[in-house]
Amino acid sequence: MIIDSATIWEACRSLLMGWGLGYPAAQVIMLLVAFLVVALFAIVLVLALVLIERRLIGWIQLRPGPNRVGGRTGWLQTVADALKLLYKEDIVPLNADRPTYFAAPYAVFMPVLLMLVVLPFGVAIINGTYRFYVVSDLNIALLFILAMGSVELIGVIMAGWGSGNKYSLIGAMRAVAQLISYEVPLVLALVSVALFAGSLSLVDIVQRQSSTWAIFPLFPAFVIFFITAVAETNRCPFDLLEAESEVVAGFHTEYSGMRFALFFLAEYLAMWVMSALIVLCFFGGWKGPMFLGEGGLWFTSMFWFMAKSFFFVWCFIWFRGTFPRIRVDQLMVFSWKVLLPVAVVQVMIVGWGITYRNPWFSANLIPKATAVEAYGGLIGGFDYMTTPEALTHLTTPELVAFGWSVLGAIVVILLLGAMFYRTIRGFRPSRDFQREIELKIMRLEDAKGSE
Amino acid sequence: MARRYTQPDVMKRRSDDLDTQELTLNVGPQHPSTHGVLRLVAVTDGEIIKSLEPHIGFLHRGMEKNSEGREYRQLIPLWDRNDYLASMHMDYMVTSAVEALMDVEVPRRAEYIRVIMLELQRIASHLFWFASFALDSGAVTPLFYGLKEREKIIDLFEMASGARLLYNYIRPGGVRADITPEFMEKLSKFIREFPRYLDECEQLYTGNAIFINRARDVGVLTREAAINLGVSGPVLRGSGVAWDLRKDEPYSVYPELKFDIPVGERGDVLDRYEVRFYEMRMATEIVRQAMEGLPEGDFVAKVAVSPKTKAGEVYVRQEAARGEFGCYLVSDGGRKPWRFHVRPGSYLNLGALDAMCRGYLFADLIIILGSIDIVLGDVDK
Amino acid sequence: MNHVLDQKDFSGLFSENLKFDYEYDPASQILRLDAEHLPELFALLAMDERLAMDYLRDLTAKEQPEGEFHVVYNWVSIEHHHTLMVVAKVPESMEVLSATQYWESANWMEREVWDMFGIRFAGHPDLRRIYLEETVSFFPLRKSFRTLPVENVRDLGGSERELAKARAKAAKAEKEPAGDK
Repeated sequence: MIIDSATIWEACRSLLMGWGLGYPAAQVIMLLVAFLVVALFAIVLVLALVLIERRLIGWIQLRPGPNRVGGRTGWLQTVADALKLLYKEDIVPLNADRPTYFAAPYAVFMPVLLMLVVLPFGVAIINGTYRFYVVSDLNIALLFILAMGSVELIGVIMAGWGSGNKYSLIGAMRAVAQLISYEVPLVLALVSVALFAGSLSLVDIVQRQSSTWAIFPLFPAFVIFFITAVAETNRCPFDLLEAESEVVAGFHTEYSGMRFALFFLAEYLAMWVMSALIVLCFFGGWKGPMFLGEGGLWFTSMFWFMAKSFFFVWCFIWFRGTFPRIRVDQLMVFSWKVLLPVAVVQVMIVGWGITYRNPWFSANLIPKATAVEAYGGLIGGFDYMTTPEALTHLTTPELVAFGWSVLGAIVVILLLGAMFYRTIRGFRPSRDFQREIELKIMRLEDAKGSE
Repeated sequence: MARRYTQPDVMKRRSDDLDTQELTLNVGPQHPSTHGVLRLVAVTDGEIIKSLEPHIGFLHRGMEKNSEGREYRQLIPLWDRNDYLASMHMDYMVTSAVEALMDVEVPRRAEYIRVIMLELQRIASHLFWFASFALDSGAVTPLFYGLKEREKIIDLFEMASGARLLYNYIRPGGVRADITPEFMEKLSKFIREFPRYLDECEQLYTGNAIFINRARDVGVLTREAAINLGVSGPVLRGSGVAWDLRKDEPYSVYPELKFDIPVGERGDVLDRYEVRFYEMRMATEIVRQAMEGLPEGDFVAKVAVSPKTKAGEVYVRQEAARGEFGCYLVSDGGRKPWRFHVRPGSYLNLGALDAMCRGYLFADLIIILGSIDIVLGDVDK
Repeated sequence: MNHVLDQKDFSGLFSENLKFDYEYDPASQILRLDAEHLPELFALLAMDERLAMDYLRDLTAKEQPEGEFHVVYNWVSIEHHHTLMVVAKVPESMEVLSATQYWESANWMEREVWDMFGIRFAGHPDLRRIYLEETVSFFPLRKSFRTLPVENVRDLGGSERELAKARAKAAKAEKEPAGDK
């Protein structure tokens, strides 16, 4: 029924050209608009994220968090902080390597901003065509994001070296070691996703998860990717390179004012980009129950995408609220001896699945859900979720894949349940020790009493 | 040199034959996790510590010299400032030294009140240690959990003494003010709730695999080394020496109370951590027993406002939160001491830091420093 | 397991091993001697199985009214549960044998005594001041070192005013000859 699809960018450009503008003019206007939209989105998002983090951490830590500026919720607090950072004095250390020192914040911030370009936020139907909310549907989007992540590392080294401070240098050295070793399992986890979807374009990867989210067949890859994403964004428990109790603030010890704010922006933006990437690669992107139907598709798709990504942002903040910091050598051991082998085995299994045409591992082999379309799923907005009605019309490979997914879901739920149980059960050695001694004393007294 | 201690040669295990350049790293005096103004000069190879030298004295206030010109009653608020996180112990230290050179019969009620206060202070101090230790290891949340409960103890102290940090409460002959029924009510509520709260803390932090990996077999101090280096308190007990002055050289009414002392096995950070947690539970138990056995009577003996002592010299010691506090008092029979010397617990514990840190990583240094629980006011006197 | 201190009378042991003048009081467990004899005492305390003083809990010094210095040691035997306090008279040379060769804990405590009293310890591996700056020339815990008495907080302000007056006077005196030229 609907075959044609393109990005919202192209739709807007053709609209502009319809008004009589030439191709170059329309392109330039669209570039400007896209830049404004992305930059504004990034800044607003970071302000919101910082506020959310502070409120959430405050809730975890038995304190109210920001609650003065902007009423009880403190919604103006981050704005006030941003203004404060803008007006602060820009201090440059005497022995700083000045060009490197000045360039480093931009080298850290720009790649993260560029990552936003390839992220698809949702989908709308305009003139009977799917229009994806993405600035540029690169066919190598995954590769692009990984490349940008690596460029960010260069900025971190520049900051560490340029500051002329030993703590910064140690922080930067840790950053190099950590990011390089965590990039390997990260890439391998994404390789299995790319194999599964048969494409490197993020839009394609999301579209191929129509019948099953990739988390179910690729659960180990998800776990690896989640852990390495935390490490890539330097969040707790992997915040070694900016550990305030060890290396003061790592590579950005010497920065102040707006330069520091750029590092701050980059960190929070990277946190959200990584959450978004998790959602796109493993949780079906914008897919979910489309409760507003075809007309509201633009809203519901964005809603699901943002809701899912904020769930993972919440996880990141939750980690920070509860975990101590891992040690630098244990970090390396964990990456090279645990994550890397598991990731390699995962890639091998996916490869095997594709070779032997196992629908479990290959979304390509599942035909586009004709059955769903035929039953008017699109009108009800259920194209994006399997209904019981549609189940009866699935072909055999689809059914097998669906069965595997259900099995995978059960395994995932059991694992998470076990972790949850382990968490609430707790571990209190000194109490257990005391009980043991009490029991011993009781036994001794019993023995005395019997004598 | 028969008695030289032996430490495991961790350096040998970690380093290889690579010829690398050494980096001298200056930690402090302004550093987030030196717990005050302490400067550590670490010679590191990469992140491995080859040697470490603490530089202290940034907070030296000449307390001992100051004491020589003051009356005994003035010494108590002065030495409150020494270990400001365990002021009650400081009060008791001065008081017991003065009482040892005086003919005074301390009422039993006063002794019981003192024990309650000392043990509450131990809990408060250990809670603060828990908070800052967790912060050193990178977890921020336990800070607030520890301080929240410490606040309750401070409220109790405020009810008893009127002060929240520097109490000036225990004095020669007894205590400054009697405790009220409201205090007892609040205290019994606290004692009831506190063990559950400790469970919560351990649930939050102790079981964490990241923490256990970081703390186990790190900063090992063997039994012989611990004794030879003169460390005391939880650090000594964590190294497997069952030495607690409340048991071994009992003072006050501790012989009448039933409690046991925890002893570690490996002498690492985890052992010191668990010893302190267990001490908090034991202190709760001691307070409970002291509350039950609290006799009626006077809370202070008849002692002059500015007491006079006999001429002589005496060395008293007590088990404070941070280790053994010794006090050497020489009196010429007046209202002022001739010589007043204090052996602070943190001082010698910090002296053992070099032996604990060699061969471990820079990140371990912070957690080891956290595990020996120093207060710089106490180290620098 | 309540093992209280088990103080023994070491008079026999000391008279057997220490071939010099000393005073020993078994009731208060204080041994007084001259610091020249410390090497023999250290060897005895550390090596003798009956004494086994393994834990040097405190080391400090005091100045007597007559001006002589004493170094005061406090030992515990964690093995046997007994204590001993030793008061050693420091000779004119102000140099005493260091205890660091047997007890590592003496390291910092001897540095403190050197810092505060100016008593040197022979054989100490690293005898530097510990609290004060290395450039400082006085030893604050000696009785000859006097702190300025402040009887009233207002005195501080008064002396400051005087200082300011003196400074102003000096400045004026400097200016006047310049005016003459």
